[in-house]
Amino acid sequence: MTVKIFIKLAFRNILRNKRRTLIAGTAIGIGLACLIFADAYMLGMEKNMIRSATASFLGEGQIHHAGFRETLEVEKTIVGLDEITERLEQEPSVEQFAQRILTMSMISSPANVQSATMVGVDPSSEVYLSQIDEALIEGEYFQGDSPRDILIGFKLAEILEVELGDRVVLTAAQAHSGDLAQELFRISGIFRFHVNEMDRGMVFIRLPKAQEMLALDRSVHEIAIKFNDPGIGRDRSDSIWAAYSSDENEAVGWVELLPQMEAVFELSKFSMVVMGLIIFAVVALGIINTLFMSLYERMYEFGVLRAIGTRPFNLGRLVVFEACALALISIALGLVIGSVVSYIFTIRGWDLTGIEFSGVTFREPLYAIMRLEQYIIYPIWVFIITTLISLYPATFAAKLTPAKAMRKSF
Amino acid sequence: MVDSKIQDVVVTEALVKEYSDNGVPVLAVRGINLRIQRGEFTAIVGPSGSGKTTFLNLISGLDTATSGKIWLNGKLLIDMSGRELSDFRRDNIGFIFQAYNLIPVLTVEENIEYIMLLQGIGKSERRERVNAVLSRVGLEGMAGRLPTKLSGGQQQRVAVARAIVSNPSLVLADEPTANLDSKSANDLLDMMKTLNEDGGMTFLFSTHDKKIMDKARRLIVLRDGQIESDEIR
Amino acid sequence: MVKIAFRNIFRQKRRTILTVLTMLGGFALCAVSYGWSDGTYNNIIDLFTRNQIGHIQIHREGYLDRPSLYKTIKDTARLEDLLHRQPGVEAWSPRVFSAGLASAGDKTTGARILGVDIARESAMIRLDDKVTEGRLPSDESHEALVGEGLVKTLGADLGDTVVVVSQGADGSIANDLYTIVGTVSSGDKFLDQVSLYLTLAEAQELLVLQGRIHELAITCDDLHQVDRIAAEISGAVNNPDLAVATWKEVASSFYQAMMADKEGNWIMLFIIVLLVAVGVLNTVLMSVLERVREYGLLRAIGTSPIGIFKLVTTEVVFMALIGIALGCVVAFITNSILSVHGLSLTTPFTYGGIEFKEMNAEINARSFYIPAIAVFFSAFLVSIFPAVKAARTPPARAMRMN
Repeated sequence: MTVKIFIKLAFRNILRNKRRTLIAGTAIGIGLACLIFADAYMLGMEKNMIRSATASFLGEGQIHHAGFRETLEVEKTIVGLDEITERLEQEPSVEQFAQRILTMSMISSPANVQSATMVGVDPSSEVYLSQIDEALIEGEYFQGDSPRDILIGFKLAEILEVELGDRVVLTAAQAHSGDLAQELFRISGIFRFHVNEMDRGMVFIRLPKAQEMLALDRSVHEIAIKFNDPGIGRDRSDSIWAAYSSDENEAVGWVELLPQMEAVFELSKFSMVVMGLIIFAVVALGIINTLFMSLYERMYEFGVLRAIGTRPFNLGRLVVFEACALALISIALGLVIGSVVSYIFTIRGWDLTGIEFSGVTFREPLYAIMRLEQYIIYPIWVFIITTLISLYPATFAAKLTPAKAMRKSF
Repeated sequence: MVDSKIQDVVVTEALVKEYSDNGVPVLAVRGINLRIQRGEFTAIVGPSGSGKTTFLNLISGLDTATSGKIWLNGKLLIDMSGRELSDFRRDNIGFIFQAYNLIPVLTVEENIEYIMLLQGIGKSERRERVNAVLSRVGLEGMAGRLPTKLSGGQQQRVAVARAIVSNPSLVLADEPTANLDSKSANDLLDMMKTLNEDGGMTFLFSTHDKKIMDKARRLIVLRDGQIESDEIR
Repeated sequence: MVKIAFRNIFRQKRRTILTVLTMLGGFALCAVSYGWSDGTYNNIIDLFTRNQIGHIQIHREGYLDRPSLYKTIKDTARLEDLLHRQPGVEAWSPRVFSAGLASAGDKTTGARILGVDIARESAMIRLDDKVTEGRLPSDESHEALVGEGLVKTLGADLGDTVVVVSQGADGSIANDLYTIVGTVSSGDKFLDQVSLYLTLAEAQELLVLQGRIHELAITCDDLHQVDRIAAEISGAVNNPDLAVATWKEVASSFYQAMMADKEGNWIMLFIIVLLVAVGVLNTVLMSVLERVREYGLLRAIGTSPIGIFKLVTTEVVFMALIGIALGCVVAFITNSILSVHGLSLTTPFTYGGIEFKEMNAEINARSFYIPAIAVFFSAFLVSIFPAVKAARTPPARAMRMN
């Protein structure tokens, strides 16, 4: 019953000095907005990087011969391929998969010679998994059926000084014999992924041609997989990895293929927490200052309140309520600022294209991602912290003897 | 002391208060023994610095004594905790200060009913008593006004209303007329005298004002923290 | 006026302390943030320039953008002579590059062939320290130093023969055998997967380069002088066919990434300074409003409005100076500690293509003077509004307000 009067008093007191409340509220609001926005930014960055890594070429998961990834040995092909592909066809969580050949090779033109990773792909299944077709800036994506089609990165084309239609020679080592195979190809397409390693160091040819060139029969080195649920690639403990791994093969999600990315997400979260603490420390000082200032100018009044019978505890509680009222106003401001700024950046993103971070290159602008939790969890934290901080001035107010309070002023 | 518990509203014994003013120790009250009885209309006078305000603060628990004992309605102040003291003041003492009595963000009605809210009294009873006490001080119809919209005299009358609304046994008034013009001061005094005579409330003033001194039935003169004279007229 | 300002600050102790703390906190935060960022980046830059690419590189014009076997530097001797006389240059090393295939036994894989002057390369980037097994190739011999990753892929050992196939500058197939005499760990794992070092002479012979080179890598004494030295070298070289590039152009993806990150730092500085300004505004406004009577008195006894203005701003300036001074101490201690005990990453990450294994702070001038200027000026600017308000109160009205 008695609580109501203090809540009423608290709100009216906060609104007494509108300018000061507004200034303090804006400061806290900005702090909150920073948190909300930083969260939206980080979510956007994660999503962007994961997409950039997996959708362009890597896929969300891959199956290889155990040990293939370290050395790219041409003989280390997937064991029991037919059985695996059959199972993958039936697997409910798998949306798409594509088979590939990968090997180190030398590519030469009349003008130059470079090393490149030669990737043999099955165009029809690959088109659903990776973005090679979308990355093409010239030429066509494996139209017709010429086995001598080759797609090369634009940077590689520049270095080799070749254009669409020109001929290049690929040299690679064959399986088991180690003999060098050399084959002529005609450039049927040029792509640009904006990822340096790909634009400069990768070429795509047809899978059967690659198998023939490397004397691999029908074996493949890699199966890239896209899942229905994007969370699987990130979850090391998902059952699917164990299901397709064995003594000879390994199945891993992107989280294992790109360990530094996950590490960097952790690091970013950590630095977000640090930044949050820092911003709050600075804001907290402002809150204390504001609360004390409003306290000091009402010392006499507090003395009167105590004189006529207000308990010390209730006076302290009044100060806490005022801080809560301030918090609520600030939260309202912060939510507005945070949502507006976040929204702007969901429309207009940052263009970080070309910048590499933890093994992944940004290929699309980074957009912020707004999420409901940001607007619930962070405000709650602000409220809690403001209330906690107010305990300092609150205990100060409660401990005052009425006479002292009335003496302290004017 | 013990046997006159029922009659005495305030009893002090060897009351001393020392505080430090920027490092200089000041003895504001040096050993006061005093008894105020129920129904008195008493004025405590003296030059500035004689300790009047300090004395009133001590006997109401607004300040803590350096040494000595104080009984209010027979209860020893030292025995009471901060909370008990607050509650005691709420239920038994009414205050009228020289100025700034009222909470500026509360209306007249809200200011007066504040104490009753602390006491947990219900809405209809509160409203009844507020209206009753407003008519007693001659401010019917002002319930909804904010203190900033009242004159000095009106503000003091609201202060009186708030002080008496819970029928306290003691009303302490520290220079209540100092900021008023003589007409308002006189009206205020007459009102308080009536309340004293009708309701039997004990009034204790600290003042410079001759008008109050003239109307008081007991005059205590303080000098340098001690009682110089104590006369009953 | 100054005296009054100074004493006024100590009147309201708690408020002053909190305000000073706000400025201290804001300053220290920014200073530490710059120290950390600058320290980490400067460390990294120092690492990869002194470990691999050097500070400055000279190439045939266009080589950096589109490397080609055929884009070579002919008058190496003249350039070396020039560098010998250029002040600020610490060391240099001529290099030759090509792509090829390396086979050992029945394993073949892609290789990056690096031809280096062993003595100069050791002096400049301490190639000798990077040898993990065996030794450096000696001149006049068919010896190769192989990257750790490459030797593993080839399944080869010291003493084994490696066949190198590439393309010669005359169009022929370049083809030769070498003995693996050592393995090397350069610090760049991706390079070690494919690197095969030959002596400069051997590489030039293999690739039919006839004494030409692809790159002249140079290190300088002082990282901060690099731009100037590069400009001087470029002037001295005076050849439109040759391009002199600093590490910023050579590692442009890293440099761009670093610049993007530093922009983020500016934004954080802005926000923190904004918060500090708000805190100061509140305090100063409050203090001005409550001392209206005092200002009225001062005006009545003849102080001009400008005098009042100066009084208010001087108080803020004092608090700012104290806050910044104390903040300097705090930041200095913090950055000193963080420069010794930085962050060691268990899973290093790459940014802009460069690997970050350790992060440390450093003590430098700009991490102190930039926040100092920012905090000082924002506090000063923010105090103008209340100061003007105070200066404007006319004497009579001020006195009446009780």
